[in-house]
Amino acid sequence: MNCARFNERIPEFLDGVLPTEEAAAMRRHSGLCPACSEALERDRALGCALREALQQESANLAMGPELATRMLAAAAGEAPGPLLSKTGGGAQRWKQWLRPCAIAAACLTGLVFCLDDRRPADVDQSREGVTPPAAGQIRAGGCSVDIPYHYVVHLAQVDNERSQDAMITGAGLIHLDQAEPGAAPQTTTKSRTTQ
Amino acid sequence: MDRQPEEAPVREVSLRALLCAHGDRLLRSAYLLCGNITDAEDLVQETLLQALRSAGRFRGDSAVYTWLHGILLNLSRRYWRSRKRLVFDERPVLAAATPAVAPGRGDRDYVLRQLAEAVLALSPEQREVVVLRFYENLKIADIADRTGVSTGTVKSRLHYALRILEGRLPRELNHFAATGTQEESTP
Repeated sequence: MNCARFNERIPEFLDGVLPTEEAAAMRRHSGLCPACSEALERDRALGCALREALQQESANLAMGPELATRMLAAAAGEAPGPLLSKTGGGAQRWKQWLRPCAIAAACLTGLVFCLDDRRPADVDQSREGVTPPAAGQIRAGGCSVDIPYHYVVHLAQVDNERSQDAMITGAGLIHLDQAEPGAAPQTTTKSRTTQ
Repeated sequence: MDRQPEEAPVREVSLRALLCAHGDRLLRSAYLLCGNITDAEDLVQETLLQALRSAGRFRGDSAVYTWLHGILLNLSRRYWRSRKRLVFDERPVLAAATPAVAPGRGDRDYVLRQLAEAVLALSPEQREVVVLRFYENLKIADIADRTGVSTGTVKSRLHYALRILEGRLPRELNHFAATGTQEESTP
């Protein structure tokens, strides 16, 4: 055991993974060489100080409820399969979506009825020759407006001892098209639902 | 010391269970790897998303936290590669500006704080090795497995990191060498 070999093996010696004979040779050399002994003790002390320093530096960090909720929401929107598909068979999966779909449909229906009697406050029926508008613009000869909607349905299922949360988010446009003033508006809904 | 017991690997992925069991530790490790809490939160979130995407490929041949931390390490390296710019870190400047007075026994927290700041100012590769060894308490061989480099490279990065830390805080570290610390690792 020489000094170069000793210094090269200090990390493994401190890990306690050296073979018995090599560890004994390290201890003998440390007893005979003050410089190597000091190097070993400095690395040992520095290692202990670093462990304590890093623990102290990060001790106050924790996954608070707000951050956890945000991560759950992001993950639920990202990958519904692994989260839900492992909880049961296909029939059970069907049943667990019936209620939230019914709630979502009821919300959409109610929203459509509420909007049915409305007219955009700033309808300009005198414009002519306007090219087909993007969502929210006014079209010549009548009025047309796209009303964005967004809904979020939170689900909670308790299955035996496990509880899992997921969200259905949906967004789309309710398109109201009134070709002639006074005519009944026609509504179409374009929706996109994500789970 | 923050040690987590080795749990049996699980195949069913419950995100809430992952967060409860490993969220805090992942967040702290991510903070020490990237140096700021906002990026650490993003790293942990992306780690969990990656874990969900690749849950089917997890063979259960390692602990769940080990698997998650491997994902976190890969993402932190991608994080550093994507930066590709010299980040001015004022912490070493502030540390150098502090009068170099030998601390007494009451200044232990100050020394530990300075030491942590010095770690966060290391290069990404050196910081990674230091965090894995002295926060995750991995052995050299395990660090090599986790990072995909040889044990020689791990020891080289560790050696230079420790010499840099000694160079930045020589008087404070002499204080530790003289008075000892709460924990001693005895082989």
